[in-house]
Amino acid sequence: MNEKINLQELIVLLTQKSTITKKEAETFLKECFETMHEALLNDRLIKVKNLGTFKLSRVNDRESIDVVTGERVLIPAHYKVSFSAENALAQAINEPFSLFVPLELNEDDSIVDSDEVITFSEEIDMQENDELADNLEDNDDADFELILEEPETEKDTILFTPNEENENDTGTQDGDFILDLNDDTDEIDEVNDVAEINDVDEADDDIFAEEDINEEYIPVEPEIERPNEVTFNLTRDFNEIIGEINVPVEIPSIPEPEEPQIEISLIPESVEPQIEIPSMPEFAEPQIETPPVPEPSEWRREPQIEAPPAPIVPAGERPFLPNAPVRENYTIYKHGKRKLRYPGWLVVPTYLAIILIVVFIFYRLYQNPGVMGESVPPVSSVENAENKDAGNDVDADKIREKKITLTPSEDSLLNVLKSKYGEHLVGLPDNTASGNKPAENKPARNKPAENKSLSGNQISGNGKIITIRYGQTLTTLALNEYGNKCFWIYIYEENRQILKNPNDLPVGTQLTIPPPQKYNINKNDAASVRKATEKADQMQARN
Amino acid sequence: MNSAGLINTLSKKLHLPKADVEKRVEDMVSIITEELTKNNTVSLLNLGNLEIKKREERVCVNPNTGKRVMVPPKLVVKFKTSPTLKEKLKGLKYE
Repeated sequence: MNEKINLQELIVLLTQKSTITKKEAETFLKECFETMHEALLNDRLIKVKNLGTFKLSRVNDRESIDVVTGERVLIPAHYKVSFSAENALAQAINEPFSLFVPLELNEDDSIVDSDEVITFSEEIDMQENDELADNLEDNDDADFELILEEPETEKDTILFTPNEENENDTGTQDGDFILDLNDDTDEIDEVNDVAEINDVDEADDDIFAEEDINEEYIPVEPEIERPNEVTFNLTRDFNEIIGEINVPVEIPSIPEPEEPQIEISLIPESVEPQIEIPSMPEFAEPQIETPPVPEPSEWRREPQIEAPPAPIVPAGERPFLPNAPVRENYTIYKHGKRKLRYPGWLVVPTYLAIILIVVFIFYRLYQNPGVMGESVPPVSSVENAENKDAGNDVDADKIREKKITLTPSEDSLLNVLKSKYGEHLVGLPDNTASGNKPAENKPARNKPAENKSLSGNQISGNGKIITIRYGQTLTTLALNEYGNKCFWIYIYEENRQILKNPNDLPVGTQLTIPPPQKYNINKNDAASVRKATEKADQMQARN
Repeated sequence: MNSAGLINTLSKKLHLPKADVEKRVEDMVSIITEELTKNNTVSLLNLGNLEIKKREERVCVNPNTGKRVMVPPKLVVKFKTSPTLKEKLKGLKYE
């Protein structure tokens, strides 16, 4: 089967097929190949019907390295013959494999046999693309259709010219997308709320970075909705502008023609076209029918001088005007409507904003699942206050590290602690309280934090009873209660009967927080801090 | 030069009617195709050899959609230029 058909065999086959003599066939074939040869050299191209095209193609000169000598060799520019089979031949050749069709792979399909290397970055790109595609699927029915359509076209045509097909795909895709947007606009026109639009306005920058939609549609649309909204936005924008411009600009000529127009707006019957000037200075496009159109920069400056009347008067007064010009409203509405013809892009940003919010909520949930809905203990303020005692903090950190590494054998620990501090635990609150009055003047900044964290906790005679929530440790408790992490040891000692292991603090455990006087706790007193640190060290050393 | 030109030149050289030459060329092409489909190598005198090669299947990624497509294996015709033609090509002036 794998023979080489040379000229002689070709001659024999041709004689059989064409019923000519061997000599005729030989001369014919020789002449044929000779002609092809010459034609190739002269015309650089020879096309044979149903066979294919032989073509000379240029190869540019390039440097190469001689494998044997290692010298650099310049391979001069030359021609090479490239052959491309015609469709009929290619199909005939590929007959045995023609049952294969390109197969679209899912993400989780692993390719075992293929040597094809897909780099990591490529995979990431693919995932991102998929995610984007998923989002689009959620957002837009039209997009969903589009994605469904693609594989079919690919399957049909990718067999021969995948690259060309790709190009075609991009073309159709973009076209479809734009068309979809246009289709949607009419429906959205009436439905959209102002709030929604404002939300979208904030979000759209991100979204447009992702999707290649023309940004030409963005700029002016959100502000123009209906007359009322226009005025509302105007007041806001004016205030912003006033906030921005601090430099006093003196323009004697410009505000004077403007002022009367504002007043005219209160008596609107006579001067209808000019009314629109005060009401719509926000519009950057000077399409309003005003004979003298001032420059935008001048408009911007105007509120700095005549700021309060300009925004407020039209906003407040217009609805109550008995003879409010109908035409004014009409023109504005018409104007707005005309501009709102293409807000189809609003759909995608809205959905994406919702998705972002959902993701954010989930992220929060994931971060602290137990605390959701509860008030977060304001640790930060205490921490800030605490950071001033840098030395104490370092000590506390040390203790915490040691505490984490330590694995106490619980029984022995319990016994030792009992023998040593049993008397304290039995009840010396009165003694310590009376003996340590100066320790009571706690720093004022610490108190609000304490109060907040205590909401819902009982205060008993021997101290507060606190129910452990998710994420709380002895050190955080100590930080909240006493203002320094290193005092955790006292909480632990107070609750030794409940706690076997200081590192194991089950959620829902009720701990008694001893009053600071009991153990002479004062976070501003270096000696007290040192004592607590030493105590913790000792406890660790005993284990 | 296209097929018609080839037939024209051949008919002049061989002093044969065009129809005959056309039929013979068609026969020759069909023979070559036939032999190639049998997985035989066909040598074209002074030009080179036509042979069949298998292109392995591969996975390609559509850069637009990011979807991976398994492109099936296929058989293609490969032309190998004969040494004599190569020599002549070397002599060909580079434009």
